[in-house]
Amino acid sequence: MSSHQPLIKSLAAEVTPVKALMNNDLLALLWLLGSIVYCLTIIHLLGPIRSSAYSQLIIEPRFMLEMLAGLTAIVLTSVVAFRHTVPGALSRPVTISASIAVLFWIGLNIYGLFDPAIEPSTEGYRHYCVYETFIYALPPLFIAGLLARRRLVLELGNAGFGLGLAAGMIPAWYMQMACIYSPEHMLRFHLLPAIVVAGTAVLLFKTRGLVGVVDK
Amino acid sequence: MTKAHYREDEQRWSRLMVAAQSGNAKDYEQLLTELSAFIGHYLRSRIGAHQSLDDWVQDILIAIHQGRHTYNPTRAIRPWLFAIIRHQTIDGMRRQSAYQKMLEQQAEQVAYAMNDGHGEMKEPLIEGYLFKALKPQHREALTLTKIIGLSSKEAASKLGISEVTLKVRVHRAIKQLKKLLEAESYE
Repeated sequence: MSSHQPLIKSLAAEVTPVKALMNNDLLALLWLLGSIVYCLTIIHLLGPIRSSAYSQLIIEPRFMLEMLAGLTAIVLTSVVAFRHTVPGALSRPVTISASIAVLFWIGLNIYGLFDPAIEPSTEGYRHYCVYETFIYALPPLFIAGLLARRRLVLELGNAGFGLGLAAGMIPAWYMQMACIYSPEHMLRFHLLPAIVVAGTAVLLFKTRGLVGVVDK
Repeated sequence: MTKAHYREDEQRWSRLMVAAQSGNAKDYEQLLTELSAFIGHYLRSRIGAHQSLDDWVQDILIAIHQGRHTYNPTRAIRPWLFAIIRHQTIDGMRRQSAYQKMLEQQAEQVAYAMNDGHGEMKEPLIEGYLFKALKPQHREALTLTKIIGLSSKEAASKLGISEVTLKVRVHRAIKQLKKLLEAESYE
C-alpha cells in the first residue's frame, strides 16, 4: 500500500460533482466585450470625445491600422491571460502572437513619434486621461480576478500581468479616439498607465489579494 | 513506454477524471492511486530520490483535487496534468530553498550572539535533535500548530498552503517523531 493511500482515500471521500468550466477563449471574449462596452460608456459619459476621431478613422488608413492593431493586441492578450487560469491550456504560438501584437501596437506608436498617422492636435484634450486610464481599468481587472478565482491559476504573476495588461489596454486604446491625437501623449499618458495596471495586477495576484487560488 | 500504452493511459485517466468530475469516488480513488505511482516514478526518474519527493507528490495530488473542475474532457489530460506537476514541484523546491535560507540565517544569528558574549543564549524554540531530524516542512507545520499554537487555518495561510496539506504534514511529522522516539529507546 502506498504511503499516499490515506490522503487519496480522504480526497476520494470528499469528492463531489463539479460543474464544467466555460471554454477559456469564450470567457475571455465575453469578458472583453463587457469591458469594452463599460469602458466606452464611461469614457463617453465622463468627458469630451475628439469630434474628428470617427472621420479620421475612415479617411486615415494608418490611424485605422493603429486602432486595429490595438484591438488585436487586446483580444490576443485577453485570450492568453484567461488561458493562464487553466493548467496546460496555454500554447506557445498564442503567447508569441499576443506578444508580437502588443509590440507591434507599441511600435506603431513609437514610429508615430517620427511620422504621425494623423496631424497631432490638442482637440479633445482630457485633463485627467492618465488617471482615467488607470481607474477605468480597475473594474474589468477586478471582474477578471473573480473569474480567475473559480479556476486554477498556477502562475499567479503571469496571469496577473496578462489580465492587468488586457484590462489596462482597453481604456488606453479608446483614449486614442477620445483624447488628443499625439503618439507621445498616447505612450506616456495612455499606454504607460496600462502597464502600471499590469504591474498592480501582478502584485494583487501574487499576494492573492485578487485571487484566492490555489485553495479554491 | 509504447505508443499504445501511452494512449491507453491517456484514455483511461481521462475517463476516470470525467467520472471523478461527476462525483464517482471509486473511480477517483483509482485515478489518484494510478497518478500517485506515475508522478512518483516521474519525479524520481528526473530528480532522484529527493527527501521531499513524497511531500511533492502529495502536494500535486491535492492540487489535482482542487483543480479537477478545470480539466476539459475534450482535451488530452497530459498537458493539464504535467502543468500541475511541473508547477507544484518547482514551487515545492522554491519553498524548501527559502526555508533552508531562513534556517541558515537563524543559525548565523545564533552563532553571532554566542560569540558576541551577550550572556546565555535563550534556548531556540525547538532544540531537540529528534525535531531537527524531521523534514523542514514537517517541522515547520508542527512548530506553528503544536508549539506556537496557531490554528490549522492560520498556520496554513502563514505557510501559503492549503489546510489539507498542513494537516497531512502535521500528521506525518507526528508519525515520524513517534518512529524516531521508538527507535531511540533501543539505543
